[in-house]
Amino acid sequence: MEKKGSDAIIERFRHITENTPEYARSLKAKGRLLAGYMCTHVPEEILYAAGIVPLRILTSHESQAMTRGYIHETYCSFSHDCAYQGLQGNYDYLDLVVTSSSCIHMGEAFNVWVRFAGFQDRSYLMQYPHIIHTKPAGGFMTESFAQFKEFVEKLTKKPVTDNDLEDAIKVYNHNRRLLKRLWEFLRHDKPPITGTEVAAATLASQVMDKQECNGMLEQLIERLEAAPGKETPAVRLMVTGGACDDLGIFDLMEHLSYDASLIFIDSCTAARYFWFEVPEGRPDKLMALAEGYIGKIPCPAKDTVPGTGEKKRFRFVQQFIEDFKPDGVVFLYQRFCSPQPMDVVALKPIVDKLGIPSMELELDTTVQKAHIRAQLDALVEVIKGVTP
Amino acid sequence: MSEHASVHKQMDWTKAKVIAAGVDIGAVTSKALLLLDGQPYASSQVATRTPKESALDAVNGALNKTGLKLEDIHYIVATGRGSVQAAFAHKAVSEIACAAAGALRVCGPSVRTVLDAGGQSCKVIHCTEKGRATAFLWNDKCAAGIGRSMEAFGGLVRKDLAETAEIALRSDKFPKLSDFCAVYAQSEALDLIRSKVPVEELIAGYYYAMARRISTLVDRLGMKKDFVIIGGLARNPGIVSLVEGILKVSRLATGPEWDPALIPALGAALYADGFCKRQESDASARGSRHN
Repeated sequence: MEKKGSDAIIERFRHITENTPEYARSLKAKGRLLAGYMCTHVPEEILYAAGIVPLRILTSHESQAMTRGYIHETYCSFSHDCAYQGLQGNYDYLDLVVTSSSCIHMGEAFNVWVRFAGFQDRSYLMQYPHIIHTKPAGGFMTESFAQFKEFVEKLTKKPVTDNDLEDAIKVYNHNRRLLKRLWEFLRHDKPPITGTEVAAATLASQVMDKQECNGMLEQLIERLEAAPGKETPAVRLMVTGGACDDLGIFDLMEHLSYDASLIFIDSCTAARYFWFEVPEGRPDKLMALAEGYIGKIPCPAKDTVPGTGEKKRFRFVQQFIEDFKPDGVVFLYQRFCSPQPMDVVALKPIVDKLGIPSMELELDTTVQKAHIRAQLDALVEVIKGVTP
Repeated sequence: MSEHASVHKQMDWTKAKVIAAGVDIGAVTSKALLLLDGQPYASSQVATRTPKESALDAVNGALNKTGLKLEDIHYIVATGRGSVQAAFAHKAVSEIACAAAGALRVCGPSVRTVLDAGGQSCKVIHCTEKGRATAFLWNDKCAAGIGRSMEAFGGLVRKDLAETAEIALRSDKFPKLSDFCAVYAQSEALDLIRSKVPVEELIAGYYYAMARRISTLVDRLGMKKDFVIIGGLARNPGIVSLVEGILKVSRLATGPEWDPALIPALGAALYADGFCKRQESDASARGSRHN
């Protein structure tokens, strides 16, 4: 039966997330140029201003044994999976692949694409400062963004004007505000949408033409605002950690042996993707972009305040806990990712201090759902205070 | 592993008000335990083949020689990796909650940290004096420090588990082996064999590496006394002794009357007993409201 209203829009978002090649090829058929990006530190606005559609390279959740000849085994499963897809030719419709020198593991996946998957002449590695919480970082990023803009202009053979950049910044900021509004539905006691559905829309936004995505988000929000809320289960779970594009994991969290709902995801595939804005109306557009990207919720790989060891991300996590009121926190990370689990060591005591039960969940290319379910069930039992 | 069952013949199930059962469907073995009014009555252990069949085999094993039938049991709780496949169970409760409840029942209310070292997973649990789990940590995907890796190592050195445990216990030389990955550790062990390192030292080295891996898990969650080790690996005196040594703590022993591998099934049975009693009291409260 065909779904109507908000359900139909949500289903479309989920379909695009789970069938990205089909969507991307439809854009290609309309003559659009497509650029794949491997890290959210890439300023998509520059690509968009040049008329290119940026699409995030996400995983396939297939076994990736063939990548072990290209990337060391102890690189994260996400990077192996992305490398695997390049080698398989799953993204052969891309006109360009871009990454930034941010995550070492994804950098290696990028190298595999460049060296072995036929992307030698259609790739760009953008320099990104290692330590972003320093004064020189802004200037470094502005210069790096300028070089990237120049590269894009050569590729498209047309200049990217300040007006083009300002328009792109506005489109992207609008998208961020809409996604934020969507997530904020989950703060309510009776949200008209589930956490997995919001996660699907957020993932879709990373592989869609932003204007089309904004149109769908506007319609969805309008319908949700008019919709009666759904009674949500008592146990509210928040996820914090690394990249996870497997909607099945989030589905599982909302279908445990006990009633539970997913109310927030702090990761680069969810909130960290959009929870910031780039200043509008600035005379120097690239400097504005640098300011925006420095102000993002930091990725643990970039989150070091020199001399203090302070982690800026933790302030955001605490704020999210205050706003979204989770009963339990799941620290989620990819196997062999280093920065994410290292953050857990420092973040867990903060969550403990707030009296919120938590657990660690390690993901791999393929996961044992029964095992994950057992662990999540145990967390909910701890939250509910189950006794014999 | 040996498959066996036992029953307290002096107890009479026909006089019991509540007959409850716990079934723990683990990756290596499936265990069942019956309680009569909260007291242990019968138990059994079988090798897990398919979770669905093994769950039933375990319960039938416990029922055997009691005269009880499956339908005589008032409430059944399933736990363990295959719990969702025990269709005959009334409810599933996690291994974490069941391990904490079972350990407390056996070792007393002073228990605060439970190490449940099983065939396929290793868990550390903090609990309250009432047996409520408050925090836990599960091993990662690697097999290091779990029962299966010990069995595989036994195959490598062609000795059974009891023999390797005994050798590890009396050894005072522990060549360094990887405690990161069971496969790496076994490759390194093969290398030591080629270097003509005595097999006794090799076994001790492997045991020490696995005990270190398990101890790290306990350290990460934090040691709160009293400490108890349960699960199939708790039957291995070599691992138990090394873990105690590395953690510098003496565990509370489970006593000879308890097989530590049965304790999560006991926890599941305690939950079944509790659920059954709550169900009955809810029903009688509803009845009195209608009268």
